[in-house]
Amino acid sequence: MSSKLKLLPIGPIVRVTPNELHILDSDYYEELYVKSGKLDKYPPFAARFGSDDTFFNATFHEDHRRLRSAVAPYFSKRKITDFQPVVKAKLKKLCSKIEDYARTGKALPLHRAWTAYAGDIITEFCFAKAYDHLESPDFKETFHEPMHAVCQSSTVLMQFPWLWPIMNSLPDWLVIRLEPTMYMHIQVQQVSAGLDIVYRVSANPSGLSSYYYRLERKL
Amino acid sequence: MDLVRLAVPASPAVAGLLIAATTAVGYCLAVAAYRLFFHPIAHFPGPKLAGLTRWYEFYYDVIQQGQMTFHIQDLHKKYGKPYT
Repeated sequence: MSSKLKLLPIGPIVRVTPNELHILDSDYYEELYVKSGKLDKYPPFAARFGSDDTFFNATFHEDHRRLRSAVAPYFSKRKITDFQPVVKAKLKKLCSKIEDYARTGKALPLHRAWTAYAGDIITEFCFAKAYDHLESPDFKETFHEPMHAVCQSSTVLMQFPWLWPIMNSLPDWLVIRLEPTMYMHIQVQQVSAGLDIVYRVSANPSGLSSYYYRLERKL
Repeated sequence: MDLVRLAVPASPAVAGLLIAATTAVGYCLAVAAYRLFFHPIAHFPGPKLAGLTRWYEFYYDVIQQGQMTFHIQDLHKKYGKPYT
């Protein structure tokens, strides 16, 4: 990293915090994030999303590589191609919902509709069972609010990473009284931590759910 | 004579406090000097306060709720230069 620092020219480069530079040049992205590069994450960035034992948050390149390799086969081109019928079925469902709105002339909350569509595909792929947000009336139940809550709390957590373990150890009823959006954040974390996934897998041990069998064995 | 007596701490407790305070202030000054003059990215342009402390980012991101990203655009207008 420091060798790259010396190569940086004078240009649209500004120091924005003690340890961070901001480079206003989208072409530089390709140079920094080269495929063969072995970069560790900047710890405050990884801390933004709380738990640090997932490959998504792994700070060090080696840890990330090891954790990521366990799930890599499930995101191969082949696996994604095989999944296309499911994506198309969800899209069909979304279209029929939009047609309903067109018929009745009701306002369509399109941002929620997209979130429901994406959420259903992702939950079906990862948990072998969609959360069926596309079926919820007016797409009321989606990941829209939890994702918003993550964005809001991430700025605070980036400054104070030690807040996460403290918040995590609070009982849920206390957290929801103190700060409802934080509760949503924790719910998202629980979903991604797979707390209710193990149950779903044992209920339906076929097909894509083997993803989690494999994960549990390997890690 | 009075001046000399003032400089001598009254008790071990006061002496301890004075040493602790001096160490803390000294540590802060050392960190500040490192960040401003000796840090690997100290020579890049930008507001001195941002280079000194992360409370700068805290203000824009937490108090002003996520404004740091937009503030960075302003910083480029003020400090950024074209490639040379």
